[in-house]
Amino acid sequence: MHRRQLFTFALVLLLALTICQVSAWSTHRKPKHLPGFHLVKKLPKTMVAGSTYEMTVRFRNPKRETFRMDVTLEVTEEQFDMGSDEFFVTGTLYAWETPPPKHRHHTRHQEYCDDLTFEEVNVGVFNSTGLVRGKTHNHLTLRISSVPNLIPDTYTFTLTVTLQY
Amino acid sequence: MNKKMLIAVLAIALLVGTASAALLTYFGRITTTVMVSQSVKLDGLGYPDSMNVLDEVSGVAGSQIHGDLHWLTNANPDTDAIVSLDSTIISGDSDGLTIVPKFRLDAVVDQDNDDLFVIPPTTIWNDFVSVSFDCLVETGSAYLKSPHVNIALRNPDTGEATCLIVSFEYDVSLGVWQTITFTKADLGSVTPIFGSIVPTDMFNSVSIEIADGAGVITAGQEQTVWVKNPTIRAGSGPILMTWFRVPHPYTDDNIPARTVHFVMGYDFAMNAVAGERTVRTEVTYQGIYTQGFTWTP
Repeated sequence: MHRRQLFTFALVLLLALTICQVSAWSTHRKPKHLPGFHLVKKLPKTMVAGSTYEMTVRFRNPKRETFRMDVTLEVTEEQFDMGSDEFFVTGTLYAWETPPPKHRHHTRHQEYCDDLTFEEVNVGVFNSTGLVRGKTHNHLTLRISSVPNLIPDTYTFTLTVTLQY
Repeated sequence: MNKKMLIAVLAIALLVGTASAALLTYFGRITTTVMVSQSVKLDGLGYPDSMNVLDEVSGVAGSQIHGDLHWLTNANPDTDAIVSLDSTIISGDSDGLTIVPKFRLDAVVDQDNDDLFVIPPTTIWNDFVSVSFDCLVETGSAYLKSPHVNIALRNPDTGEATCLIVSFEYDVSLGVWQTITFTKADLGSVTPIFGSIVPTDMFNSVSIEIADGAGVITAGQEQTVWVKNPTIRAGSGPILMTWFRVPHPYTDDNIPARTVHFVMGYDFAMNAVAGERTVRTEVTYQGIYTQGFTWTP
């Protein structure tokens, strides 16, 4: 093969690869929906300031690999501006390889349990990131506390769970 | 040269492929809207009306007056709140006026004792000298006894409650302010919980309780008592305990709601300048009461 042909072949290959990668990139960059993600235990409709309440979501791990889990809870207030240190969040991930028994409390019989530490990265935005051992069935419980002098208002809690491989 | 370029291009393509594969992402999102209600309320009012007491104060030198009766409740289902009452003179002469909250305790037949739960500063049993307060028995001529003091101790390492120490009551007169002081020698009755008194045990809570502490109030023990200036001495000088608990509602039938009733007291010194003052007292939230909570003044 002549050098010119070799060079042309290389350019074509590069172009093809680039097109494929851009396509693959855009496909992979677009997050897929977490399988089986739904609320198991929801927050009550009304909360008293100064109390602690729990919410639990479940999801299936789509790959049998260790993953990086990013959990973000964003709290917004309807009428007033939130201040920092008004809420406190802790969490626990319970995991099973086989589906957990339906009528057993999820804190028992788990094959894997990991306490999550949350940091208020922005006002009202709590984040926990870490590597998680890959188990198929996962329950994530968040415990949300507030200060007793929290201004009465309507608060919106948006929980986002992201898994990366 | 071209071969090197080709290798470089292929290497870059491989890296891009690897990088894109590493970013496989799954995500889930849930949004919930919740109404948050107020835990501690003053006079049953919600925010923003419930946060302060405003009194127009007019007294002569040497007199003691007080404002209207107010009450604090805590709707939190499982946690006591810690608050303080912080006063500011917003108009008029501030010299010669002392402002102190006076708390009302009620002993009602068939109910558990009524308590004022004050927050002690960080104190260990070894340093404790005395606890004192001023009290006035307003009604209850059949039971003319001062409130007694319960002190809960905890192990500083494990946080475990170790024992409850209870004082006796003094005989008092009706309708007269008296200062009651309990020293170590007066705190005789010890109820072990997880052990006996250890010198390094920490104070967990101090409660000022009326009527007989043995159980529910029986006929003949009814009384209404006012308490002010709860003070502790522990190693150094006296420290006024200005933080107190607003208890959560109990579900036990015999335990009262333990609403905190108080008035703001205004004591004019003999050299106080005549004239009207406006005093605002804020209900300041200091935190949630947990076992082992202590206050550093």
